[in-house]
Amino acid sequence: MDDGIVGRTLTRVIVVDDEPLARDILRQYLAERPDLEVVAECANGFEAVRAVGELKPDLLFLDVQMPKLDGFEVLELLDRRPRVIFVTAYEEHAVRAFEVQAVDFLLKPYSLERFREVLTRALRVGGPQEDSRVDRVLESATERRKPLQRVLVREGSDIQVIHVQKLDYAEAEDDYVRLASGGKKYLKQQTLADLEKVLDSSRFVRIHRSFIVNLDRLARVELYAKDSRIAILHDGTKLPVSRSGYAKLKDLL
Amino acid sequence: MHPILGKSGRLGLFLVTWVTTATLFLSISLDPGDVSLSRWMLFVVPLATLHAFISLAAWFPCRVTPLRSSGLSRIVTTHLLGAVVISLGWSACAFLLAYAADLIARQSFSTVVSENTMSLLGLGAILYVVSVTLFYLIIEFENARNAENKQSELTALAREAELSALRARIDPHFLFNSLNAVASLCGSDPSLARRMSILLAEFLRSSLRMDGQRTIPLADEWRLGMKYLEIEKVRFGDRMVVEAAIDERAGVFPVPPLILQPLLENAVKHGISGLVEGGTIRVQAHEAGGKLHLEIENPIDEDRSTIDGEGIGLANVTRRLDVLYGREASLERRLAGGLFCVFIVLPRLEEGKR
Repeated sequence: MDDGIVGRTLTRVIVVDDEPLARDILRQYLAERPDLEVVAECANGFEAVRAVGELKPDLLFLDVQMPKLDGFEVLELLDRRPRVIFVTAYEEHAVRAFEVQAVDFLLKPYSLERFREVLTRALRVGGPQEDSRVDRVLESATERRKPLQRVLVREGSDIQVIHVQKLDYAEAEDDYVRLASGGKKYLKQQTLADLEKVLDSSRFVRIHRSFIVNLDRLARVELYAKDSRIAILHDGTKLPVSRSGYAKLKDLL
Repeated sequence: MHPILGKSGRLGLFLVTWVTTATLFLSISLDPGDVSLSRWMLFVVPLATLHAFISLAAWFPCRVTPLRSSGLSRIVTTHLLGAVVISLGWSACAFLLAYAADLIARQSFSTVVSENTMSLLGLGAILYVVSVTLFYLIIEFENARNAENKQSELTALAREAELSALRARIDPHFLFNSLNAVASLCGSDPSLARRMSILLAEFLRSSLRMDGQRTIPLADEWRLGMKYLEIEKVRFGDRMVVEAAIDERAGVFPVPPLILQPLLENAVKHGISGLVEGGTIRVQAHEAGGKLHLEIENPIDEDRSTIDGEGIGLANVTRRLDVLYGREASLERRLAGGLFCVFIVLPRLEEGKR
């Protein structure tokens, strides 16, 4: 895929920005490149996730501050990430992360020369190394947002935003987590350990190798058999509690 | 805390000076009679040292009768009483010391003391007055220094407020995004680009001009606000609608400059820009009971809103209101049904109340 950008094939581009004029200037600058085709313009994160999933572009111009989902959250939700050029007005932390990781970015307002330079670089370099840089930018964005306020889940083209207050518990399922919220369950590709790291540790407790529970939902803990306990939630759900999990609960309650 | 007793350096200096001075006074004003000079000094130095310690007590009457807030008669009575008590006490101690010295050294110190009673009483009173003067000087000096510290603290606070006001005025984010819009319009709509750059210049110029003014009519503040909102409307297009109702009497009401501006910026930054569909910003102002009632309402994405971001601009305004009006002004916020609303009530700012 990464080699497919060069050659005679048209490079497919998606432009994502909530401001029409900001999308417009990108289109103006892109007009001088007949080898690039703008296949979609998106005004918010939801549209972007959907469009990237359906249209599978090669290159994404991505605004960072947007309604619904910001640029980082969009990338988090994509299965297959195209090459990304971040576009942002002054955003201190983000820009530092971009510079440190040497990912491609445009600072608004940007000149045609700067645009050409970044575009050329983005079309030339690529591959796993570039991907891992973007990964690190996403990590630093997640780190800044800690503790997590909302969990994003994508099911096909449908995106669910689950507020952590509404999250009842999370259950490990191989490389996925099953998130329970208000009687519904959502599957997200993330390990339970990774989820645990970003949740507020004073409200969410890993009570078992495979379970994290929201303390607000916890009704009581009962002795189930010798040395084994179960947590009972307000809605009656029963979850196993390990010995170390019980120790953590006792510390917090 | 005692200004001399509490600090060992000062205490040392005070004792040395005081004992020397008092010894000198005692040697001059008391006639040793037939007591030898060296023995006389053995008597005088402890007496002077005793007086030094007694004088330290003069600080307490000084503290309870401060020069500035006490009447002259009160100051005079207090220290007259102090002088009598201290010189009597000290003279009594001198007698005791003299009798003791008589027993030990077999000399007639007591005769000398009784012959010089009046001088001793007078000297005690004079030294008391000297010590009172000294303490008043120390107190005045410290008051002046405190006032100076307080003044510089106030200046620092004022400067900080100005700085943060400046930050609220020219939000780099807003500027960069607007300039990006101008750059974009240069290609697609040059006349709108021209209009946008003029709006930006006017906005910046008016906000700089407001600098240093104590109050401005609300109408002037709102004119600046409208410029700002017009610029943002170019950026957000149909997503942003503004509705304003500012009645005539509210328009002439004096307000601190740039009190509305951060709230409008909040409404755009944390409200409109976070909503796919955008929404309407409503500004209302009316005068009632001699007070200005100001209301700014904007829709907000409740899934996204973090009160922190909203809080910085608001905290700024709250603090400025607090500094300018004390408890007379109020700022309340409410988040309900996807609408964020700020209510401000301001009294008329009296002259010279800054």
